[in-house]
Amino acid sequence: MTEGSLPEGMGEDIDGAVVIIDDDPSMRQALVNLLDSVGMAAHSFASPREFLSWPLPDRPLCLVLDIRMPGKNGLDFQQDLAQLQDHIPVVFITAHGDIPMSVRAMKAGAIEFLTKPFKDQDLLDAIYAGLAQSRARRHEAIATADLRSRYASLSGRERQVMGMILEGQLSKQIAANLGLSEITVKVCRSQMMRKMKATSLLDLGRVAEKILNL
Amino acid sequence: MALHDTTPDSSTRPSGFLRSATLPLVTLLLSVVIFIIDTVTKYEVAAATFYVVVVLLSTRFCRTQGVVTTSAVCIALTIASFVLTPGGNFRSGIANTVISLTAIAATTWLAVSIEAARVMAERAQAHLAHVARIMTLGEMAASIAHEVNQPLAAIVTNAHAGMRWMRSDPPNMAKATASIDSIVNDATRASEVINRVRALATHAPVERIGMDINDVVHEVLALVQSRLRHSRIAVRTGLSGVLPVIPGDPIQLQQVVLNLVSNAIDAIEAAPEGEREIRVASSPFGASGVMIEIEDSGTGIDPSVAGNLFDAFRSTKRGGMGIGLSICRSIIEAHGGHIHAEPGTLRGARFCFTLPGEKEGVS
Repeated sequence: MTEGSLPEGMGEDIDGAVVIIDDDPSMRQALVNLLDSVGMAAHSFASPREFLSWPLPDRPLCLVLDIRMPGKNGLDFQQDLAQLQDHIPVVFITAHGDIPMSVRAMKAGAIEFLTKPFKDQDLLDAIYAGLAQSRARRHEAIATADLRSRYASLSGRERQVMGMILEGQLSKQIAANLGLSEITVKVCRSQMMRKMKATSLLDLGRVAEKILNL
Repeated sequence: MALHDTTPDSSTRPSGFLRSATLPLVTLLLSVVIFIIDTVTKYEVAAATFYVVVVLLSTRFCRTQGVVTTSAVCIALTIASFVLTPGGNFRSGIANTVISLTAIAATTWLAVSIEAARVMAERAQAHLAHVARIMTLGEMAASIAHEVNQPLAAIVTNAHAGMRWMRSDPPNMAKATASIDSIVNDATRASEVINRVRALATHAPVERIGMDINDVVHEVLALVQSRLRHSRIAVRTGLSGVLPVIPGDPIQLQQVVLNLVSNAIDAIEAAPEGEREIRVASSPFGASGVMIEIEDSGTGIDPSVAGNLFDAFRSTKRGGMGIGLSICRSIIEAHGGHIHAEPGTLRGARFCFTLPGEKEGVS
């Protein structure tokens, strides 16, 4: 595995950045060097506090975190991070990891828990997985924001009609309930479907579920 | 004369040469005087019993074998005096001689057993010092493991990176060389840590060499660096640049400083949040000695234990065996110095020890 093989989809990783937090200067330098050798951008910090004062770039991120650090323990910092809205994937590296530590890290959603010294490919694989996760989250967030804006563009009447359609009412029933003509309801309905970019009722249902769940 | 041949260690003791030569000379003179008096006086005068003093004096500068030889010489002199004595009551002469010989033999036996007990006590003390050192090491093992593993991890990572630089197309030799440079630096760092630990762990015999106490302080601070960093403790050093060279055992003194600094760290860790600082200072002391002060911003010394702080098997630490400070005191006193503790200016404790220089004589 140390052949320097890059996993598929490596090209996409150019847009991502790796953040290294380790209190040991030579370890930081070594990690930056390793990531540099595979053409990845890396930013290194000596402590979580130093990292928090850094403006987060708008790109997929993966955190490489040492467990034992001055000030704050890496595991506690992982919990703090989870409370921020930006969920950044974390890869742990530690000099002396035990089972409770790794269980706690993995339960809190860590990508990988590596014991120093580790194989370069293990770390790189974990970082690729982390960046992929970050990228997927970003895509999802963009998609959801798009759906929200579509929903926001609906008029009050259109939202009312959409709700009733999703409850399973027919145009005729809606017209009766709202005291409108069936033609008006049908026009309103087709306008709503166009604004929501829904091709079918099933499609509309899926979109609605995403908006209401998030 | 046998008395002088059996005092090889008097010269190796660190006391002044004059003093070490005086005692055997006085002892020799005394035995000659006793011999003359015993020989010229009549049988009734039991001057030979005073050889007891000669035997006792010899214990001050001889080991077991020397004392036994001295005693044998005294017995020979007593019998010689008996033979050479010109007159008097022959029967009281025999009685007195027997009494003298018995007294010399009994004193010798006592002196030899006391000497044996002293040697055993010394051995036990050395063993205890070694145990204390191993325990200090044990406490520090995690810290040391971290200190060694960190450069190793960096070495492995840089090696992987270096291979990638070389295999890239075209190979990036500048980056590969930089990676190897980093490997060399980290490997050097790791081996320095190992050397320090090995020096601390070996059960080397006591040696006294001319040394700079500041080196000891630097070594210890390098050893506990990881612990200090982890506990976020700042160290302020005020080391004098004009310290005299003092005779001492660097490893033992390193142990003393390590123990005091470890205690300081423990005390700060036990203290509620606040200033986290250790001050280590060295300064000239007396004519040619040095003084080391180690002060912390920790919990301080409980007045109830202040009186017996340096006693063995007393500890206020959870799981502590209470031999650290006791060993510190025996090491410092063996170097002819003094150690004491007092409340410091940083709200914690201040430990202070002195070590005499070359000329001041060490007992």
